[in-house]
Amino acid sequence: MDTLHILLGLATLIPLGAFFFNLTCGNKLREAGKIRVGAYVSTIAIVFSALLSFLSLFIWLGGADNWENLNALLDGEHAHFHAISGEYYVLGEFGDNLKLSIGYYIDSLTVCMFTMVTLIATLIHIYALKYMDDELPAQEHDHSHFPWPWAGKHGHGEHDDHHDDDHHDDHGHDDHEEQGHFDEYYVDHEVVMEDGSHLKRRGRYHRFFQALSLFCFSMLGLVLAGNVAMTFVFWELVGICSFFLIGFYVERHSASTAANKAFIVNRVGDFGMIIGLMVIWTGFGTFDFGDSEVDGHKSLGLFSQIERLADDAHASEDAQHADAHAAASNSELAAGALAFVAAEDESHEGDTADHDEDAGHDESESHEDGEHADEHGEGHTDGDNAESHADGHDEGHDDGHDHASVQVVVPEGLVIASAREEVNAYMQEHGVDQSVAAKAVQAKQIEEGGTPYGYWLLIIGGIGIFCGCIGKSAQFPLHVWLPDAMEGPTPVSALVHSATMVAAGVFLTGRFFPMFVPEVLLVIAVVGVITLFIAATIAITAVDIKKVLAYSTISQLGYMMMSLGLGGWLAGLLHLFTHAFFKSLLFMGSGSVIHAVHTNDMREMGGLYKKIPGTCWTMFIACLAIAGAGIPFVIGTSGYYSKDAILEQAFSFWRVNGGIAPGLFFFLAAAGAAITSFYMFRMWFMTFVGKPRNQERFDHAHEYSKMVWPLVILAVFAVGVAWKSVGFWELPFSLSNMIEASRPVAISHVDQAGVISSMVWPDEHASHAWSIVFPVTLLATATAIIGFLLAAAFYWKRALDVSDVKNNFESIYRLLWNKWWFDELYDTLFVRPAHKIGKFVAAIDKCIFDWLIDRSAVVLRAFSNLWNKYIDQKAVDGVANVIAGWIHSLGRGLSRVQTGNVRQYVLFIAIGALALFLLITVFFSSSIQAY
Amino acid sequence: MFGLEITPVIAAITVSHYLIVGAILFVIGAVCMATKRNALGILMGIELVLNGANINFIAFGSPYLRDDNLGLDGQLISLFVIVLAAAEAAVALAIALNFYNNHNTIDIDRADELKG
Repeated sequence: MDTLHILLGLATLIPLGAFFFNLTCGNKLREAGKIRVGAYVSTIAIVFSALLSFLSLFIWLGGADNWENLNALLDGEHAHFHAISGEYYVLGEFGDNLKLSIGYYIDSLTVCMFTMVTLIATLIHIYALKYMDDELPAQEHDHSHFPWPWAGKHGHGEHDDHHDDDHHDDHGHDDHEEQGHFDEYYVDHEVVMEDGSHLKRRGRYHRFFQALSLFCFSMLGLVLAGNVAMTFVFWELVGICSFFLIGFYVERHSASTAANKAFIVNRVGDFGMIIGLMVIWTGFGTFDFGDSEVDGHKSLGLFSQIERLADDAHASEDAQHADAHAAASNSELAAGALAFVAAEDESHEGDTADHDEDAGHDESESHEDGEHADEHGEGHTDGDNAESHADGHDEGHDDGHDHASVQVVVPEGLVIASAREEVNAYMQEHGVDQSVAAKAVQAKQIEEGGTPYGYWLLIIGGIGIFCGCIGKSAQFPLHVWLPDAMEGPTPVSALVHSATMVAAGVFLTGRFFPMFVPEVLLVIAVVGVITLFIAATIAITAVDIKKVLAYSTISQLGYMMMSLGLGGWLAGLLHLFTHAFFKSLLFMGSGSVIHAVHTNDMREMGGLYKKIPGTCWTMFIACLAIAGAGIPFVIGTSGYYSKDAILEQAFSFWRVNGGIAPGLFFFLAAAGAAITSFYMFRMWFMTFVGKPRNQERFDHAHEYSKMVWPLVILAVFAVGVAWKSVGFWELPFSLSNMIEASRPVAISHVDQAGVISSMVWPDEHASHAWSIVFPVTLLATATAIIGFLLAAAFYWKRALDVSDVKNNFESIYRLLWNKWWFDELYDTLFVRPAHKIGKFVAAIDKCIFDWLIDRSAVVLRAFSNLWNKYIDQKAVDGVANVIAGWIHSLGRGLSRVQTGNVRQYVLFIAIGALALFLLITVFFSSSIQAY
Repeated sequence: MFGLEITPVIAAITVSHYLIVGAILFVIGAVCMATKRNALGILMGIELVLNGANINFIAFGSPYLRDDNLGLDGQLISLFVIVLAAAEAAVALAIALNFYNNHNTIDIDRADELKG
């Protein structure tokens, strides 16, 4: 276990090494004709990272109590796992509080993410080795392909003409290393020379892998990051890699604008994230997730602070009313902060200033398991909480007590300071001591019933951080960049824009989960559900195979966000993993299809199952997985487990809160599931089944084994990654238990309630109740089947006519076809005004400022001319000339003395000597006489 | 002046006497240089000037004439001056010879080509 951070750190750094290798040597190798070397280096690097990640996984499983605890989880018990946190290197400390460091926070979630990311990245590297070979230098220039007559003519939107050129044409050839370029027929990719030949741009094979390596480094660093600041750095690195890769075909205007769009839209989210970071730091005084220990001082990280705050809240609650509920939460939170201040003067075992704010988690727990509550109750009655923190929680809650000798230093933030200020004010006013004042202030707060200290900070901070996640994970207001990102090469779409980078937003939401107060969770859930529904509906009408998948990705990310927002922490993250596998499989399959037929347009495909059977069946498996197919209550594909878990949590949420609005979450998600199934199978039927719609493309379609076997591996994972048991044999551990192992302590086995909103967030474990699982599983399976049947009826059996529906629901169809007019809306709302403002400002610049500067330049020039003529030339030059004239005439005069007559010189010398002699005698006689 | 004491009786020879001899030699040499038109005459004047100076060195450096012992510095410098004078004479004679070759005379009034 102690070596985990070294192993994972190495796994992160190896791709960085490959990146630098490609950066420094890539072009030289290309000149030397060894362009493939860089790609191999990158691939080997990621393979090593994957090996290290798997090693870490095994080490984690073998670690101290982990195995037993996993088994305990299996039996439904509550087990606690320790996260490993620390710092590799402290970059700098500023002032008392601000510390920037390169840290790590490793728990089972980190390890699983590492394994998943490196595994998928490895497969995609291998896949891309073949897929990207149109970027290899062309050795045979004029092989037997012909200009595709339809190239660039099929139109279905703004980006229609670009897809063919990223895939070149080995059609009709075998799998041998054959490099030809399709580019020759695309004017924007080449320069036409005078003699009619084509000058192609250089291949960028190595540069693709260079960016891919940097991306892997960034993503792994993001997962490993031990503090929010570091997360943010890698967050931006991931963003810039995405920018590079989307704009890989930079010659194409649509690609470069798509890259810009992705980058700019993400900036909007990141702006919120920066605000969130500032708020978090102000409130908590630290960026660290976990605790860190420097020079025997232990400083508490965010999670521990939150956890303690929650504990305090429980404690005071227990003390006052044994089964309090949501309503009491204000006072509990305030109690946390105030009790802390009260404790300060009594217990000085460390400067335990603390937590206050975790206001967030006022879990008004309904204590189904009474023991939890009781334990806290005795420890925390009032003043002595500081000690009770140290020894009160034995059920795994904590950090402090493992290191009895370690001083506990809690970073101090604004919240404590404000609590203390108020207490001090009270002290001075009434002349009582601190603990009395704290209690009085607390009582006053309860009376007034305001929000507890720092609660608003937590809301703003949480929403701020979530803004970053909205941008990165393409959630509702900022989802527009992801479909455009399909401009990048398909392996990038598979890795970056479905499996990993966009998952980073979900990952951060999951990682940061304990910091989100219920109000923030509500925002997350609402954003998630809107996203999942809108994106799913758009996917119905998309005809570009990659766009279908892009909208599907957005929709699935919406599922994850909604799940997290409804308290389904495990469900959301489980879906993150399963989705990564089947969505990368779908994307790579679509890449294989595109590579075969040289178009993205599904209306030009059809019947391809004969030509590319491997792709066809792996994609079918992926469609089953994403639709959540399974035999209810027995076994299913991975999506069956994760999507059902999400629906179960949504159902559980609805059941607890009742009403229409909470119900919408569940029903929209269920409708989304049906739509998902529909559009996925629509895509599959349109692509692989039926009669070829374009005979020419069909005839040239070809499949490459190099590209198929990664698909097969992914298909295996897409089916089995979430299995808990095979038949009657229970697996020793499962993915969901692995993730469960890193569930934040603050949210395990508690219900949460907001201070401002009146809803209750049920504990996720409650959603495993049979009364929830049974109807939801049946419903989920039913939605999947309905979707499948509809798709089959429309696109396979042709029992229903698509154009009929299209005509009958013209307006809805247009809405969906135009993607709910989001692009147009943003264009009108932001882009055009921005352009207008820009033009206006430019006009001001040109007409006013430029004019002013021009005029002033003219005036200045006239002035200098005058100055030159009168002052410079007359006065300055005159003085200089006069002086020079004097010197000149002096020299002239003196030169007459130089007669060249030796005797005269001698005379001068004699006279001079005599004169000196006399001079000294007359004027300096006093000094002579001294001798 | 100059510590010179003129006494009617016979007295010991002091530094002052040497200095008077040196000064006389110097003035003779200087006048010689200033008046002669012949280059060789001027050279002779130079020799007189140098030797006048030498006498001063010898006088100041002599342990018999002065109470404090200055070592051999004075004598050494005068020897050095003699050697220098010899070298200088050689060079000067060579110049004079050359001058004669070019101008057919050694009248130094003719040698005014370096005048400013």
